[in-house]
Amino acid sequence: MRVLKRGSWLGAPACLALAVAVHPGGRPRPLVRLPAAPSRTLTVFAAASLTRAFSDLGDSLERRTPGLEVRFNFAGSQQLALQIEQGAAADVFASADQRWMADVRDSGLVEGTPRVFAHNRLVVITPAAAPIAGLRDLARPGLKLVLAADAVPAGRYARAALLNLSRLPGFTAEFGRRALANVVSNEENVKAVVAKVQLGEADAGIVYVSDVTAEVAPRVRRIEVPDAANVVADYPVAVLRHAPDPEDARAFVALLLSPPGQAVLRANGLLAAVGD
Amino acid sequence: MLRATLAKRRGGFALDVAVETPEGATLVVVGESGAGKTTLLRLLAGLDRPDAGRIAVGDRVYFDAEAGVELPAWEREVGYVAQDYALFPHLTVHENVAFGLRARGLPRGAARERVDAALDRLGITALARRRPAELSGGQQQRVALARATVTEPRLLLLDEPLSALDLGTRQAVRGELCSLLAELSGATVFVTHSPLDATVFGDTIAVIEDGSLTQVGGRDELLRHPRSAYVATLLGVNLLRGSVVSRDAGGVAHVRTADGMLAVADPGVDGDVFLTVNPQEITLYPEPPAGSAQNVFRGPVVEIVPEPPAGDRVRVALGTSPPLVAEVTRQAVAGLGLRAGLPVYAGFKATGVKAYR
Amino acid sequence: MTAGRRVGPVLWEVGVLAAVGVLLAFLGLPLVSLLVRVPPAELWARLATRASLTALRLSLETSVCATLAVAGLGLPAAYVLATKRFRGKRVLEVLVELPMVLPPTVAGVGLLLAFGRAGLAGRALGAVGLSIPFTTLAVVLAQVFVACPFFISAATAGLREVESRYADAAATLRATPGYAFRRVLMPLALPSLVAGGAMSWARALGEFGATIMFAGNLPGRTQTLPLAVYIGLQTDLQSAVALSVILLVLSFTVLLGLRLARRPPRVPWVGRAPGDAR
Repeated sequence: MRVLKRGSWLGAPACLALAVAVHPGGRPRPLVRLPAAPSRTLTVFAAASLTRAFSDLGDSLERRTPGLEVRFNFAGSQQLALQIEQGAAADVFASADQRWMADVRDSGLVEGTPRVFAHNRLVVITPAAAPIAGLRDLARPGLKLVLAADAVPAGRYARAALLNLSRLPGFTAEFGRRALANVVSNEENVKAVVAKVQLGEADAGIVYVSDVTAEVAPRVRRIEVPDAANVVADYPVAVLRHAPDPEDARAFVALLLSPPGQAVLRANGLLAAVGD
Repeated sequence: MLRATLAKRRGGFALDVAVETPEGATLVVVGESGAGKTTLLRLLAGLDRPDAGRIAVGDRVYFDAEAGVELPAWEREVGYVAQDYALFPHLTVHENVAFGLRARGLPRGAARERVDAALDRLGITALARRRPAELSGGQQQRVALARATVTEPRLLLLDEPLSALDLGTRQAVRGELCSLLAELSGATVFVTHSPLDATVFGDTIAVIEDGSLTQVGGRDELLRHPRSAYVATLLGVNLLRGSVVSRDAGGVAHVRTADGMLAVADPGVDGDVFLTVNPQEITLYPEPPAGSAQNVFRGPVVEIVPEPPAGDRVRVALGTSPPLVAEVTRQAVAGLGLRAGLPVYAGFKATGVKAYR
Repeated sequence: MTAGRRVGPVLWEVGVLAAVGVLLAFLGLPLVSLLVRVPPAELWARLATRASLTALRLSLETSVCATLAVAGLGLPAAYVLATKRFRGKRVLEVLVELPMVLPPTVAGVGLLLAFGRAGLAGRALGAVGLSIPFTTLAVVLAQVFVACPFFISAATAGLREVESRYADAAATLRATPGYAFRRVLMPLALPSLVAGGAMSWARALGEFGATIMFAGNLPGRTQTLPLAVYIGLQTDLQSAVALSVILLVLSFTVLLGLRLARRPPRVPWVGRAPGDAR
């Protein structure tokens, strides 16, 4: 057949057309079923600590809503707030603290009232290969402690937690100050802190409990922070005012607040905010 | 005394030569571009490595393939003047000339004396503080020579030293260079494509063609007995080849060549011979000459070149078979109305042809 | 000449000018936008803060150190690449160029895996008490890694050109390779070396990805100006823009100064070019 000349790129569609035409009986059926192109896209800006949880929820929403594609931008909340304020086209913003949500709201970019959909707590992690003994070691001179930068919610919470620990019996008043003096790097988001501890470069890092995922767990050891000193992070979510797809945005927020959604959040290490 | 045998292969080109020059003498290697002249110099200088052979200057062995001796260029006592001179642009003339001395650790004061002497010998003392970019071609050449000779090398290598100069400068420099070379104590190898330079400078002339030496000898030897068409053309002599057919009692032999029979002065030998005809022995006629000229050829004038330039005599290249070059006076040219394309007859006597083996 | 033939050259000129105009606009607009955002008075106020000055000082110190290291390490490599022929030379050339095309973050991860505490070489270093990540040394190393190729390629090209013309002459004048390098090659190749150094310095100054990955981010120790801009960006846009402008002005001034200071190239073609094949 002429169309099948070697190297001719016309051959393939021609074959296809031929196969379709030759198929016996009535309407030609395509040989290859391509997935339908998404007719709608939902863009969610979410704090880095929500990566696993939100990916699962995104899949769930896609399954329920044919023709919808959910796209995520995971980063430090401070970075997301900046991008939104600079005009990034997002539908939903989920922050790891109230401060950055308030920042976006003050810029007039939030529709309605933000709702807190989850909580998170802090935990100290240390490399499994060379772990520190306990919380008090954080003040040990020469220890390498990695935190998120102060502008990142996780960083701010961590610094607060260290100061809180100073006030507890069993810790000296100097503890917080000494621990903070051990900080060797201010990372731009909490996942970078996890990475440095996993690689064994830092002796310890302070992250969210939800960050100790199944992949991370084998390489790190957890040291719990007593409730009295721990910081409870509030995660607010809001639909953005100039959202390209407000309908699906509201559906996503609704999913977050629904029992199945909360279950997914819990399964990923977060603390539920609704009906707890 | 330079004694060298060299073999070098590069791509499709193969060099295979043996050269010898006594101290104080100059060997001129003459050949076309690509014949291997520069390669030869580079091998002697140590800038390239021969595939095989031996290079010895006096009692020092610079290279011996079998014995595994190889001195790098900076340990040989060689002076080298490249075609483009390669003067260091960031140094003054004085510093350029002093370079070879200082590179060997000679202190500044001692070097200065020798440099001043070298500059003086070449007449460029006034240029000592200048940079190479400010010099004319002739001046640069002198600096290059001063630089190469101030170290008193045992072997001086010159790569077409006069080619970069314009005709006028070349005339002037030729004479000076000749006397300079005569003063040097070491051996000199001078490479050129100009036959005039060859005859002026060469105590011995080596003709190189395609990587091998086709003839080596003094100037007179080459003039009298050229052994290849190239050499003959080089020296402006007509060369033919043939084979003796018969020799008669009158001292005339008959030689068959590719273009017919020639009557030549009896060489006293039989068999294959070279035949030379001095251009001055050839006379040009508008019509077939009667009488004594025994060898006559007909052909068109190809080119007329004054020889020497602005001189009285003229070289006429003829498109005869074989091609010949005749030397005649300007008056003859005018008288015959010679111009390119005009058919003429060229004749020469048997006595004008020398035959030899 | 027909009208068509007259149009051709004009079209060419216009096309070239248009393309250049577009390029200048594209390159210039972000720079201009930075400059107009911050009034000069505020610029000075932002610069005078402790954090900015610390970051600036750190940037200058590390980038200068890195450039010196690059020159020191890169010059021998450039010499080898310019003058020697050997098997595997291509591989060396590619290896030296690699950091130029590698994303800086990838470079940072590589450095961490090599010299980090748990790294390939890091373990050995740790045994002698040397720990590199999170130190200012790490900043310098990251900068050296990404800036090397810029110097080496400029230096190699410069040395190669000089070598081809003058190395033989120097050798026949009794100069050992070392002497020839010091007295002939280096001085004549200096313009290329300086240009390469300037490029390296500029690259080192602007380095971010590898730095934050390998050295971390701590004011006074590892927070260089680009890092300060990036982190500051997320809290205080104006400050970040001001710092960016400072970086911009600094780089521009130094690069311009070097260009103006460079005398016309000192390697004129002295004498006739060699016609014979070698």
